[in-house]
Amino acid sequence: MNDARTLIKKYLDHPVLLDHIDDEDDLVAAGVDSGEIIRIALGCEEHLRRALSDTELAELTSVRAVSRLLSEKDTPCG
Amino acid sequence: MTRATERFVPVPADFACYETDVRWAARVLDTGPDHLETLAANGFPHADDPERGPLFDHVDLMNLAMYGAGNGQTIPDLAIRFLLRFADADPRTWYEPREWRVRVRPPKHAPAGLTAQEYRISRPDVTAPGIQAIRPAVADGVGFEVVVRITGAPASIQDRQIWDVYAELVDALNTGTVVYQAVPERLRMRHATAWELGMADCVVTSRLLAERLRAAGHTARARRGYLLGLVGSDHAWCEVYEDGAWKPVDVVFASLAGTQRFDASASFVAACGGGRFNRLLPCQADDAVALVAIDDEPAPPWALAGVSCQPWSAG
Repeated sequence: MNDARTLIKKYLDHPVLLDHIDDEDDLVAAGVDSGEIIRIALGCEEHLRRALSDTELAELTSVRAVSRLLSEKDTPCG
Repeated sequence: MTRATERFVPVPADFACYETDVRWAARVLDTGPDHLETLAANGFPHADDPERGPLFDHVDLMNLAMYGAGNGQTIPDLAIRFLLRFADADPRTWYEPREWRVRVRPPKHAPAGLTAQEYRISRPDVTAPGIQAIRPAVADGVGFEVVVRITGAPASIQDRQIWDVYAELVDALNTGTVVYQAVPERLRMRHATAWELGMADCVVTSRLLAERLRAAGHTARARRGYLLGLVGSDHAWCEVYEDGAWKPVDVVFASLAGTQRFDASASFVAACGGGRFNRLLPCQADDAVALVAIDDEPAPPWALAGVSCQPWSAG
């Protein structure tokens, strides 16, 4: 979860906002604006070095969702 | 970035709102204040305030951001790319039933104490074709939350005259006769003027297309709501009644497809002329009027609602 929080914080205009957001909270509802969400999605793509699918983008709504996505890179294939 | 001002049409002074100061403008453009001072000195539209310095129009700044960087990495460019990524998927997924939870709220920096009477957010139109409320909209402060099932429908426009009017608008955007760019809300409502000035967005094109189709004897209307995906994005489109059904016609989607911003398949372009996608949520907004109003006036850019949406399952 720490990797996800580090990535998200990087793209927030006011990173301290994330300290008040729980892992399951809806990021937009918690005050993250659409421009920040878009930058977070771009950050995930850069981290994973691939484009996110439409489904992955739609599910990118919380710290936990970002963490789930990022963990893909750490999971060995096969 | 200075040359970017030649790639879009600045907001005419009588429709502009010069209230954005250098500090905020620098943040929007991700540049330094000195650059803004230079732009103002070189004639970029602004008003001089004796205390605050040069003040810019927010829409001009958005267009400068979109046309200035040229690297496809600006927020408007990325929003288009992410929100239209569904076009890359199997066309069957454009139409199958999808359930969404949608929350619409004022932005975090909105003044505290706004009431629902002062800050009005249009609710979803659950009577529209393909829209079913799984959980009716419930108030959430001055915003709302709703769960909807949206079922798309493949279709195409059959009437040659409708197709020609639609194609004419798409062609104007594709050739640059009219520039696809941000347009201030007041000018959106004067869509013919915006078009004559050479600027258009989804609201302008949907209202203009509906008007031209009605003038030609067809039954047509402009709709406005949210394009759902990574976030919910304000979007407008035209609907024309043909063969006993309302068929959406989307000039902006069709135009964006195949551009540098968004490279879509021919089947997606074809689907923009009559197909109803399962991620467009129409709201109660006759003639595509603003979705958010403060004291019955269209909300300024800083007050636009935050829209979160996510796939929803009862389980």
